[in-house]
Amino acid sequence: MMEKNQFLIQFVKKIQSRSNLGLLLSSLIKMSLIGSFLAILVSLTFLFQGFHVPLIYPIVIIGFSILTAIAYSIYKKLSLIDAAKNGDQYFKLKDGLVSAFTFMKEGKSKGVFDLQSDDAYHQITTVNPTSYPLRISSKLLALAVLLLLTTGALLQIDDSPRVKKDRAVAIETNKKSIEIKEELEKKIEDLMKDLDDEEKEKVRKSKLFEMVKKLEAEKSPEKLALKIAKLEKKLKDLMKKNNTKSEEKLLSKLAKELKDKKKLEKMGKALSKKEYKNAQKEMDKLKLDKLKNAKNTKNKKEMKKQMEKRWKDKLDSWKKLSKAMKKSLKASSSKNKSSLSKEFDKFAQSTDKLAKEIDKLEEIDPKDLEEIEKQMQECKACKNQGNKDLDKISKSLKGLSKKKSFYKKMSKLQKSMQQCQSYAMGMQRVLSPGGKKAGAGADAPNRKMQNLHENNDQYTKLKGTKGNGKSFIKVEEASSGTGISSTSGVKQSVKAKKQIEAFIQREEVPSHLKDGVKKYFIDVHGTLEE
Amino acid sequence: MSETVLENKEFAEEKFNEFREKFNKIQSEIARFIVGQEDVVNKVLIAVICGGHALIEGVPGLGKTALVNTLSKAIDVNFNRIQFTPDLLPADLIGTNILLEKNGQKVLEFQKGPVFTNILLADEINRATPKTQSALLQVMQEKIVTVGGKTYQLDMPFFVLATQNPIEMDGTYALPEAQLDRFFFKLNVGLPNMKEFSAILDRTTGVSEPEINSVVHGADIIEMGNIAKHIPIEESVRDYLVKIVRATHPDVENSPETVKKYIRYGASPRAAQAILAGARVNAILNGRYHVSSEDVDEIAVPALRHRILLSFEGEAEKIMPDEITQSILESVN
Repeated sequence: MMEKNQFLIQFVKKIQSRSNLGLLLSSLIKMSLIGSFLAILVSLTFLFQGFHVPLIYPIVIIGFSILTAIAYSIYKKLSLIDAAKNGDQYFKLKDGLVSAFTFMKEGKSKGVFDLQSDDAYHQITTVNPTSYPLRISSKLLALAVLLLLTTGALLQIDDSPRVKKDRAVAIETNKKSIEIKEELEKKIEDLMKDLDDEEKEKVRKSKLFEMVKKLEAEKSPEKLALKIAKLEKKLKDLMKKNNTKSEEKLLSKLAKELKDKKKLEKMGKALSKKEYKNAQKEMDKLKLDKLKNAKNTKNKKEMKKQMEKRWKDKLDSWKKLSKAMKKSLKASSSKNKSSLSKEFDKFAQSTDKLAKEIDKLEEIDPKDLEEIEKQMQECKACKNQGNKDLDKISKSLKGLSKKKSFYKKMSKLQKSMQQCQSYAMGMQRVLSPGGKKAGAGADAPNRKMQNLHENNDQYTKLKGTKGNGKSFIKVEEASSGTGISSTSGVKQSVKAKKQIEAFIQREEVPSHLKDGVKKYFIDVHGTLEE
Repeated sequence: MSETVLENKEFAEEKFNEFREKFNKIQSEIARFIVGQEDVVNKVLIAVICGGHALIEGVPGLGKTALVNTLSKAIDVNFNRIQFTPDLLPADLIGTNILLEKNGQKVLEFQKGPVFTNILLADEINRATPKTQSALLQVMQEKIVTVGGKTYQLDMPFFVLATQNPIEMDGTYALPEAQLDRFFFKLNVGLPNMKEFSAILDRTTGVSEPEINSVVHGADIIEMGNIAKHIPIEESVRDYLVKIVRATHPDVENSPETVKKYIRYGASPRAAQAILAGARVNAILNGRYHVSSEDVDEIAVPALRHRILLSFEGEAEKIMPDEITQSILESVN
């Protein structure tokens, strides 16, 4: 009995394992079909765009399909009862197997159940459970294999030439952006060393450094150039605040006015030479002395005499200076008046007022001490105001030299940025001088190999025939016949810029075209002035 | 027969062999007179063994009455035949109290009707009025007769084998559903084939007709019925059977479209009982000791045939109940 039951269980288990294996294989085939179909769709999406299919996508899709098939076959795993039913169906046992198995499980083994079990046992001994079919569709299997092979074949297709070129450009641009970033960071760091604390603070506030750091991830040359252009604009804004041109212009006018004036010649020379520190010293000399307060009548009279005597010379100089300032102000009809011009105005007013007050003092009856006292106080007030104004101008001169120095330093950085922008756009790199150290010689160029130009597949230093080809560079720079342009990228850039500016200025150019070009430059540089 | 009788394997095997032997004997005896119609004979015997009644339908002259006559002879039991007519009254069937004078006293005495027998042939049952047909309801289901407040038990075994003619519909009364449901099987007697036709002529038109002998007794039939009840049915096969019966109802969700379209009302649980009982006998006859789905399929057709009530569309399109049963079997499989 035990042996019979064991045999029955083993028989059902074999059918179960074969059924489950069949289910797993069938699920695998079906899911592979679906997975490979999806993988082909994904692959075609890549290929239509010209890209090589990344291996990860088909692997993930087909892998996921296989996992789903395994999970499904585990979920749908056949029970022993179901396996017995399948066995009945396949071996045509007329429910004998499932009946015997169920009755055995239920512990029914006497009488008719024993007979039934015997009957089932005899029937199953005549069949081989391993002959139970796996029930795999050979058509589906063939189709799945075909689709998998197709997926494999699609994986072999390489990037299109256009994509390859784009990728090479992206890699090159990325390299460039890293180079440019490092270069600019170095430049800024070097610059920071030369700056004093106040200037450093200005640079920090402008967030130039942060913007430079963002350059690294860029892969498109245009975007990289745009980023650099924005960076440059930022720098220009910073420079604009420290631009001393209008002040210098005013001061040069003033220098001209002071050229022939006695006692102010030195100041004039210093200003014309832009030696603002010397000019400042000269200006400080013009400050009027402080007089002690008189306590009695005698002293007051004495003080009046001293005031007239000691201030007279300097007041003359003040008058000359303020006159010169007025003339210089008139001569410089700049729209953007500098802060210096306002200070000039104020000083001129103070000078006029002081001169008037001194004139009044002279006209007062010497006996009218009270009035003298009062007028002297007015004069002192005017003197103080005049001194203050002079002091302000003097300080402005001092600040001017600082600003100028900062502006110069920033200009260097700006130049570097312009070069970086040109370099980003595929022009020659001239960030730093080439060649090796003295004595080492130059056996190889310091520059990197240029990229192929996207319009004509030629190096940036073009060979070409005038009048042919798509590239405007080629048209502008190539001479007839063959030859290599020796014009550097920066020069080309400047020349092109000038040509475009000249083009904009031409009257016959339609206004909508002009506006388009203007907009482009405004977008890139922020302004058309520079 | 008690439950413990078949607990012994050898004894059980002996009993099942006896079952088959007796069945084969009856079958062979009937086959001596009835030519062909093996399936009808088989089903009638299955119905008889299961204690059920059979409704045999066929055009006149196909041997319906002869079959029942032969069966009654092959089984050593009492046999009565009633020719159903429109003027037949219930009392003509079940009997009536008659006023008799006994020992100078007038007493009412129950005069048993023809139903008090073992095999009742209700010939052309659809010719009787519904009232008379209904008189058979209690008899067929409970195997008792109640007259004048007294109940009389019929002798066992008791079977009603009714015949009806499907073509002569004038002056007939269709059997009510309740009565139809009480028939275990409805069997269609078909036209014999060429060979069978010749054999019928040989056997019935000669000088002598074959003599039918009793091969089993009424008690044997009861015992065979009890033995058949021991055949086990596995859970999934039983579920299959239940699904089939449920699928005959158009309001059941999984019933096939043909059922939803052509069936007004499906089979009752009594149909399921009949199928299971019949399938058990069928299993023994096929040498098996368990009910298989094939047994269920085989028995389901005659057991459901008269229990499926066609809808108006079904009647209009002349859909046969057997077609519906086949579609149910296919859909449940």
